[in-house]
Amino acid sequence: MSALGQQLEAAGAASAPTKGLASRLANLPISARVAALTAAGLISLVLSSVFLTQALYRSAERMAETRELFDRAASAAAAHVAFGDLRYWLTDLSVSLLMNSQRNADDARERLQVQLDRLAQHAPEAVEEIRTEVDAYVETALQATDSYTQDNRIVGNALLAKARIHSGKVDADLNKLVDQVKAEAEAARNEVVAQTEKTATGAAILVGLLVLVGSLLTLLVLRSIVGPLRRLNRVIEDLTEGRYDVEIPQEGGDELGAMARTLTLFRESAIEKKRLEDEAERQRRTIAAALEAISDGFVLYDPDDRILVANSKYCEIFPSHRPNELRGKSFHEILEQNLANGQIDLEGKSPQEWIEDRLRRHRDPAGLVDERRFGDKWVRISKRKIPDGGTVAVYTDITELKQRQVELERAKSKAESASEAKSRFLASMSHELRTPLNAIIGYSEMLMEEARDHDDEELVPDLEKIAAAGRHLLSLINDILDLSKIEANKMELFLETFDVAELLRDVSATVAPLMAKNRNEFIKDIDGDLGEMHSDQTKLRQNLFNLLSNAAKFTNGGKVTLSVRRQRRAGGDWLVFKVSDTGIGMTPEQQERLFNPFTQADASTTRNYGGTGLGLSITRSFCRMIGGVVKVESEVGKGSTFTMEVPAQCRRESEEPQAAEMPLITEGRTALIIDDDPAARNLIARALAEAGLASIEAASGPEGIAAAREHRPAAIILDIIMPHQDGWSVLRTLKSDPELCTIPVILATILADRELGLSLGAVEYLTKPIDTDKLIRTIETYGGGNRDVLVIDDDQASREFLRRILVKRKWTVHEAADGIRGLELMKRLKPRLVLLDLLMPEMDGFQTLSEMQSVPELQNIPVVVVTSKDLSANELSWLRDRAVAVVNKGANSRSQLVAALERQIGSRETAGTAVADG
Amino acid sequence: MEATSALARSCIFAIFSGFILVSFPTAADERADLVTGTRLAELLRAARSVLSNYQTLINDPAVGDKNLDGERFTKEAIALYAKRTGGQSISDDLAERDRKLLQAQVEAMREVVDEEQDDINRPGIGFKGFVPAVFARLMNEKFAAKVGHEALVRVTAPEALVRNRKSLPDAWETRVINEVFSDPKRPRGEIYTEVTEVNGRPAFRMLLPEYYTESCLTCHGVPKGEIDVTGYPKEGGKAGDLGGAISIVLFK
Repeated sequence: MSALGQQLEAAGAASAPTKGLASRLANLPISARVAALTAAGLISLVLSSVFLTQALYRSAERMAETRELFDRAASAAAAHVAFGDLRYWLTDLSVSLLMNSQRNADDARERLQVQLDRLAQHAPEAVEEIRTEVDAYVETALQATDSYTQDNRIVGNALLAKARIHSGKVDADLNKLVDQVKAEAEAARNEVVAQTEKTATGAAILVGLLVLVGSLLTLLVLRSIVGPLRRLNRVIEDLTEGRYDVEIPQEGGDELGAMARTLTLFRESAIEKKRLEDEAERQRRTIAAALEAISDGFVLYDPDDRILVANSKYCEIFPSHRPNELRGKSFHEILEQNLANGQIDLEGKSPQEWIEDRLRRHRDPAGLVDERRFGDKWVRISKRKIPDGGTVAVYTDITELKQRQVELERAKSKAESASEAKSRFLASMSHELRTPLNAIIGYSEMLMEEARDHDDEELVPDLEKIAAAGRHLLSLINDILDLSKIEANKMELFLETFDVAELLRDVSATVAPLMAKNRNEFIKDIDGDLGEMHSDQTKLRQNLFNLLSNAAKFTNGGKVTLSVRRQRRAGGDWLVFKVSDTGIGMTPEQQERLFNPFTQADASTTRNYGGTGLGLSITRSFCRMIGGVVKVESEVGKGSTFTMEVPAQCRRESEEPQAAEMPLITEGRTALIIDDDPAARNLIARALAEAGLASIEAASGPEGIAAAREHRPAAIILDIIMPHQDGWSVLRTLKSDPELCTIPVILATILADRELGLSLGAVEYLTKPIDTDKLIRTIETYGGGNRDVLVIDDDQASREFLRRILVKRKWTVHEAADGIRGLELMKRLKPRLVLLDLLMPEMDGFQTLSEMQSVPELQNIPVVVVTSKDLSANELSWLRDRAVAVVNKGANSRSQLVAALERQIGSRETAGTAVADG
Repeated sequence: MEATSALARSCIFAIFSGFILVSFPTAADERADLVTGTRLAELLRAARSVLSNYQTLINDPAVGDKNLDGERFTKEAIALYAKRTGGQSISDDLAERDRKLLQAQVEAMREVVDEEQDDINRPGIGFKGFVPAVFARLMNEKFAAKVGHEALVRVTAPEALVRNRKSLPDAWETRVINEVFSDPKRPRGEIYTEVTEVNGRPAFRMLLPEYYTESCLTCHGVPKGEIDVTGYPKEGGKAGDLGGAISIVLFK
């Protein structure tokens, strides 16, 4: 009760100075407040429990007492009843004398005894009195019964009357006892009820007080928490909605105060964050505007391949995509959408394969640049991974570019076909023009010989004129054809190694008649040790001939000097050819025009000196082709000096880049070729082999990397476009491997220079003025035996011409008009030699040679190709393997042919190779 | 059943009679007492059987005069006694004492039946309470009144089975019932005899065990505690259980 008093006091104190208490409360931590509240609750719980427990104990004690009293009353009542039974049965016994009644009486007496024992504890005196009376009664009654049993009724009656007095006394005593005990029990019960009611009232009051105080305390604590919390909540709502100008209330020193301070900090950081966000938003807008301004479609994918940003140009390129739907879409969905629109070129794949292929490439683009068709548009797609795993894709509409490209390609193919037609025309022209000239020159030479033989000298000058005119015409034709080839870039180089002195001897012999013609003195100032050259002998010779013949032509009775020197220069030896004359000379203006085609020093020159005006132009072109230069110094009236400088080792243009690469690779070591295309690998391997490098081949990226680890090649030639793992990723792997990163890697996207794979080998040149007598002598000293020669040519005149030459030399000549007939004759005659034309109907010369190769008995028959066709490098190469000599029809054909025959017979079985050139 | 038991009794009687006559002359008195007591018991039983047989008639409320007076009853009882004892008479060839005592028994039964005539013949009442046990007690009381100084005949029982205080066994009877008859080795039906004192006089006492028969169990059988026709709770006995004993005193 004292605790309750304290509670009441506390409640009273709480209500009066609430304000002061509230402010003090606000400085207490919330946990302390809640703990205090909980403690108050617990204390009141304990107090009320103690109170109630005590009341219950008291009540229980009283209840026990009361129950005891009621038990006593019940015992008294039971004793009364038992005594009633006892009295009844004893009375019954005295009448009936039945043992059953006696037993029942005994039983009743026992019961009475039990009840009396119980009552004796509380009212011993009264019980003792009752017992004495009961005993007396029973004794007297049994005596009466015995009397009755013995049929002594009078005594029995008397005894029974005496017993009745005892029984009446007992009855009265018992009644008294019952009444007394009952009254006591009633009184006790009433007291219990009163006490219980009192306790209940007390408990109700106590609980009510506790509830009141508890509610007040709870209200106070809640108000101290909820009030500030609501204010802070409003502030947080405002802050969340972006109203940073809200005032943050100053709370007390508790957690809420801390929260208010935190909110203040939060507001500051939020304002800062908003400023930064605004900044970021501005930047984002700037970037978005920039992206929109790009003329290409731009898409940024996140690492999960979902679109982060896409500009509107992308949607213009792909109209099926809506700008607002794109964000968040995965690349896979885009592909499916494109597929559903049906504007996709599946490239022969199933839609599923196509999607997988595109996804694979998207995941590992490695700088992928891809051109694809979407509907009527061409789009160039370039993708790159960015460091965070995302992908940047740029889509460029290249439809226009593509169209232009197509147009260009069409134009190019038209040009190419035109060029092809031109080449064909030139080839056939050269053939068609040379064939009749062959006859003209050949027959005029023959006729001259015959005229001389028959001492018919007067015909010789005329015949010489015919032959000279024919030769002039042939040289014109050759010049024009050469020029055409140069212009059409069809002129090919035939590089070979030859002795320079010998070349000069040939040239001198050739120009000697020209020198003699204008009574010029030909002075040769030639270094003793010129050595060998590796160059195009034919072109060099033609150039020298041109320069010398020009000098001879424009000098009359003067001096023509040829001086040749070998000079050592950086990068190799050079040969300097200088042709000086004392002729008419040229003005500077004339010198400028000099090397232009169809131009001579003066328009009148042509009239005075003849010539096509092509010679110097061709000379300059040839000179450039073999890597040299030609210059002129001249003074009118004093003569001219042409200087031609040519490197001793001529390099093809196409060889140069390879030569530049060479130093990368140490001689004699190994290069690794990684390319999925076996043909490309083969090509490169051959090129490398020629450069003296062994090669290892790998057909895929992983295989290549494994080979690189195993063999450590000197260099790696790497294809870029390969399936599975492309060149870029192989390169990455190689460069990231510390042991492999030092190996130089040459990237080869399209390394298809087929020139590398072709080599013509050594070619023998024949010089023009053949020492006929020597040739014939050689042939004749060869001796007898089979002297059958088979001539295969479709041109009747050509066959006739050859026959006459050969018959004259005691050869038996057989003729065939085409390859089929030729083969038949070959099989039958087994001729010593076959002279074969190339352009023929039915079966041409190439075919005939192939056939001969396939028949064992014909394989060893030497074949001299006699043709007026201009041969390409390939054709020459092919023929070189199958024929012993190739002879051009036309100029000098006769002597060339004879020379070839002589050489053939001289080195019979060695199958030497000769190419004769006009 | 009745015939068989009668035959058995006759045999026992004959054996005892023969035994007494031919064997030990020194115990001749005791032997004579045993024969006398046995005869008294047999006559009591015969009278009781006759009354038992007339129970239906006596308890018939429809019949007024049952025509069952003392004379008729006595004749039938004596006839039944003769039949059961193999043709013995109650007067011929008997010793003086025996004839006197048997005659007193006959007179006692006659007087009891005659005194009860009003009740027996009272119409409208079914069960009249004049059952063999009551009859036997009244007859024995009459007998005692006549020759009580020479002999006493009582029917008693183990104390738990006694219904009327008058039939309570005395100390000697209680001892024999509790100590002798309870011995399971003892042959059934064997009579116990002893020469002792009664009321300060030397006397020959004998106790004959009686066993419940089916007819007894109507009132004394199961279920125990059920109220029988006399208004008394049944004892729960079974056929063959010791149900009571005939106690005979022959003063010296």
